[in-house]
Amino acid sequence: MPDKPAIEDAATDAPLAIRWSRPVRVAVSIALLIHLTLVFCVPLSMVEPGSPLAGWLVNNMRPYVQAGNISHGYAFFAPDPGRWSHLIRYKIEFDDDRATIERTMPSLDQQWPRLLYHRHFMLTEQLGSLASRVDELNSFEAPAEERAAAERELRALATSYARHLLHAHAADRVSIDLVRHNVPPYIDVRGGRTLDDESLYETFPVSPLATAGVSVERITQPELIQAEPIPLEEVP
Amino acid sequence: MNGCVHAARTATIDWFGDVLAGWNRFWFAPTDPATLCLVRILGGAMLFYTHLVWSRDLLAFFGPNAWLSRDLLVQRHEGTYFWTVFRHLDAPSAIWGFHLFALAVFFCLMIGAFTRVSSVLAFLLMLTYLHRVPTALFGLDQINTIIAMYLMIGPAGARYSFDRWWKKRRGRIEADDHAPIWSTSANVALRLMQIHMCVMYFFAATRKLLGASWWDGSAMWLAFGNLEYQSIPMHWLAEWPMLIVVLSHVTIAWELSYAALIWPKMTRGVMLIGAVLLHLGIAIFLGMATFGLAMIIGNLAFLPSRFTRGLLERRPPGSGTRGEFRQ
Repeated sequence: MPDKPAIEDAATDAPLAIRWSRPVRVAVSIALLIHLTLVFCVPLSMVEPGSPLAGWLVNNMRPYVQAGNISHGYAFFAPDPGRWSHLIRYKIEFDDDRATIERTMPSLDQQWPRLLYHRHFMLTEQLGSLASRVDELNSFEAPAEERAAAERELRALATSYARHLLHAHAADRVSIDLVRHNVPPYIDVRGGRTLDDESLYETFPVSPLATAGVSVERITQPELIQAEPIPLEEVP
Repeated sequence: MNGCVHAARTATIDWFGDVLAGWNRFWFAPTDPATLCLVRILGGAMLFYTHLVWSRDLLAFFGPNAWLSRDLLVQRHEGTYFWTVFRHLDAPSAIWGFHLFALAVFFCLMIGAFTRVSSVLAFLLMLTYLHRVPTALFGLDQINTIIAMYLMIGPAGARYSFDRWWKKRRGRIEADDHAPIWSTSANVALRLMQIHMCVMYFFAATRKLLGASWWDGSAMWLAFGNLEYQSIPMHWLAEWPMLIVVLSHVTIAWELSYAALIWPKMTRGVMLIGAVLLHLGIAIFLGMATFGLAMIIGNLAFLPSRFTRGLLERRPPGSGTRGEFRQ
């Protein structure tokens, strides 16, 4: 079959015949089909409840999908933009005469440029999403094993953040509170409520780790030294 | 009866022949890599900036005592194929040395220096960063991956690059920069980028359709009314509820129709203008300038190379005396 002229935007004085040999085109076509099938199947397998066929394909091609970082569902602000965002408030204490540090993260004052602020925001959102998951599982009395796994995952991440703060400040104690900042209905804002109204912030109780609420962590240097890695059974 | 069978057989063979010819034209017709090179400059700049920003707090994210501890990272990576060099770097000097090397690579990609090598290295380096900080990632990293992945495939340094300038200086190519360059792999790279953008918007839209707020039109308020996202005050939007609804519906309609309407010449321009407006909106109002700009860069893959050359070159495209073929 003769090769037809090529794409519309090519210059008119060009020799536009297809130049790759048939074997090369066949080999490249197979590679393209496999790649694009996976590009499509990865998000398809992530939509709840998820396509078993897509899941099977992706699972069998995990080395390619994971190592190549095409393991994304593209759920930007989906299924709904969050009705809240999460912050963390941490308190760092010292046994010597250094003053206690209390900060909120993310903070435009502390993290600059905006991209760095957003990276910190994603850290707090990750912790918040794990906490929301624990809440959700507890709300409908999910199987105990599932709830325990979610709580371990939450605790592990909170502990990791706490360890970082202890080390970064050479501190002796640190506590972390998770703060949920609710987005008010626009009708409330029309009525004069501000977006940073104090009533929109919910702080979850400090220590010990709340099973029915959101994470809270308080660890000290001796605990840090003795701490064992916390097993995670199901990490997406 | 025999005549009917023969006609059906001929029609079927012709149909398959047309499909095959269409497939070949779509993927394997050589094109000028001008658009791919434009994506390289802007995508390379975004990769450089994205990683430059890590420098402000490098050890807090990539050091042995990072926010996400190495123990926890190892547990997360167990049984997976995620990989990162940072698991094996302890000394701050080693981490900084590696980081400076990576920045140099991203810079080379941006200016088109040693592009074949720098594009592959840039993709691998980007992955090693991403896999160390899974808790700090967002949409920017997904679009960066797409751009970097496909820049490896085509001759992204064929135009507007240090490589091109160096070849001219050494006399390896004619000084006439306006002669067309024909490359099949440039077309493959651009086609892959185009299709990946379509898949991304398709799922971005269909996953939104599972949420009630995109149906009742309140979604955009939840996004704009979120103080942690806002880069400029947006509370005034509460006074315009119908505008919120319109913005929500237009976003869904645009994303949902993208994969179909970006291909015909008649609607491509409108869809690209829509992309610029949508993503500039995210960049300006929702505090994600990098994400918004990176998405616009991804959309540039749909620019015809003649248009790109007309935009970037003073002489009209195709005015060169003879062309140059590349794989």
